[in-house]
Amino acid sequence: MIIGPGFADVLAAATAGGEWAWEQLFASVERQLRGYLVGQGAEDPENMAGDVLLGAVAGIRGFHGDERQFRSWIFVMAHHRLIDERRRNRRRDRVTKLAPRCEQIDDAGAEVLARLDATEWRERLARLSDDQRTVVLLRVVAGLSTEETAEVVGKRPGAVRVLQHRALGRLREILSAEVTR
Amino acid sequence: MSSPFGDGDEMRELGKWLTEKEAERLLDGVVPADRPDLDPIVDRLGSLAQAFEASGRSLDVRALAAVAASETRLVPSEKGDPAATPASKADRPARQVSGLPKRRNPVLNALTAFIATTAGKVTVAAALTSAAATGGLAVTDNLPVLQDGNDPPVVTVVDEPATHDSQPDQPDDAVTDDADAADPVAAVEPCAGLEGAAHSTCEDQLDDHGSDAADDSDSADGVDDHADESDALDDHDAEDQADEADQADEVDQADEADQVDQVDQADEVHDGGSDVVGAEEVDQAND
Repeated sequence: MIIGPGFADVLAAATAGGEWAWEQLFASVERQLRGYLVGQGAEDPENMAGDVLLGAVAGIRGFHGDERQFRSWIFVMAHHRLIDERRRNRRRDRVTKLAPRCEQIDDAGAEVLARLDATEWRERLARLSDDQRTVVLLRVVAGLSTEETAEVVGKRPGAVRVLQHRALGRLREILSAEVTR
Repeated sequence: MSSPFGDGDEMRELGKWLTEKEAERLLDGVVPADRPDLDPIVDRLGSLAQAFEASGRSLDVRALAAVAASETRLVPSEKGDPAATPASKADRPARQVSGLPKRRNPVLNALTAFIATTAGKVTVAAALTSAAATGGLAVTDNLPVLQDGNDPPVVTVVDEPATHDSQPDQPDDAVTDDADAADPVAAVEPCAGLEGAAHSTCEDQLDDHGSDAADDSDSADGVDDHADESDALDDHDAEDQADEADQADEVDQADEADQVDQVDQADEVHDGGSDVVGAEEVDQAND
C-alpha cells in the first residue's frame, strides 16, 4: 500500500494524534516490515513488527521526510531491533537458526504454499552471509533503494552494490543447484 | 549445472554474468531487455517477497493505530525539541537565556551617556574628590573634635528655638484612663494572648480598677491561667498577710460576681479538687 502525494497530510495528522492517519502509515509498511523480519529469522516477527511500529510513535515528532524516507526510517528501527535480539541470543548462547521454524500449518491453500515457499527461501538465504541476506531482503522484500538500504545497514551505497551483486551471484548458484537436483 | 564461478576470480566471473547496473535493475524488479536469461531470477525473487509477506499473522493495524493515536496525544514533545512558545512576539521579545540583555536600562543608558561627556566627567571627579576628602578624614580619625568636650549651647546654633508643643495632643484613646497608664500590668499585658477564662478575667480586670492588690492577684491569674490553682492559694495567703482593712476595701471595691465568675471559669478550664478548694477559699475570703 502506497499513500502517495497525500503523505504529508497523513503525517501531520498522525503527529497530531489522528487514529486514521496512524492506520494508513502502519498499513503502508506492515507487510514489508513483517516479511523482512520473517526473512531475517526473528524469533517473534509479528511482535517485533508491532514494537517497531509503536516505537515510531515516540519519534514521529522528530521525523521529517517523504514516504520513502518514512519507510526507510521504519526499517532502520527494525534492523536495530534485530541486531539487539541477536546480541541477546548470543549472550544466552542461543543460536538463531535460519532453518525452517516449527510452524503450525493449520491454514489451507495459498498460505500453506506461501509458508512452504518461505521455508525454502529461508534455507536459501541461510547460505548467504548476514550482510548479503540483509541487503537482499531490504531490496526485494522491503522495496528500498540502494541508498536507502545503505542507510539502514550503515554502509556506503557502493558497498551495498557489491553486496547485492555477490548475493545475486550466490543465489544463482543455489537456484542452479536446485534445478540440477 | 555446475557453478560458473571459480573461487579465485569470483568477481570477474560474476561481472561477466551480471554487471552491477544489471543487478541493480534486477533487484528493482526490472529485467534488462537484452538479458532474457534473467527472467527466471526475477520470477524467483518475486516469489521471495510474496513468501515472506504472506507467512505469519498480519498485524492488527487498527488496534496499533488506536494505541499510537492515544500515545501521540499524551507525549508532549520529543526529547530535544524546543518547548512550546507563543506564536507571536508582539508582547515583547523572548527572554534571553544567557548573555547580555538586548535592552539596557534607560536610566543606566542616560547615566552612561552623561559620564561620557566632559561635564559629566568633571561632575563625577568633583563628587569623588569631596567624598574621598571627607571619607579620608573619617578613616584617618581626623574629624574635628570639640575643644572643651561639650556641645555648644543650642542658642549659639539656633537663635530662636522652634516652638513645638512639648506634649502634642494625645489621641483620646491614649489618655482615657489614668489607671490604665499607671497600671503596668494592664498596660503591658495584652489580653489577646490569653485564653478562655483568663481572657475574660483580664477584661473584668480592666473594667474594675479597684484595688492594686486585687489587680495584681487577678492579673497574675489572668496572665498565667495554668497557675490558677496555685494563684488562688497564693491569693488566700496574701490576703491573710495583708491588712484586714485593705482586704475589706478590696472586697468592697471588687465585684463579687466578677470574682465568682472568674473562679468558676477557672474551674471549668482546670478540672481538679484543688480548684474547688481554691474557689471555696476565695468565697470564704470574700465572706
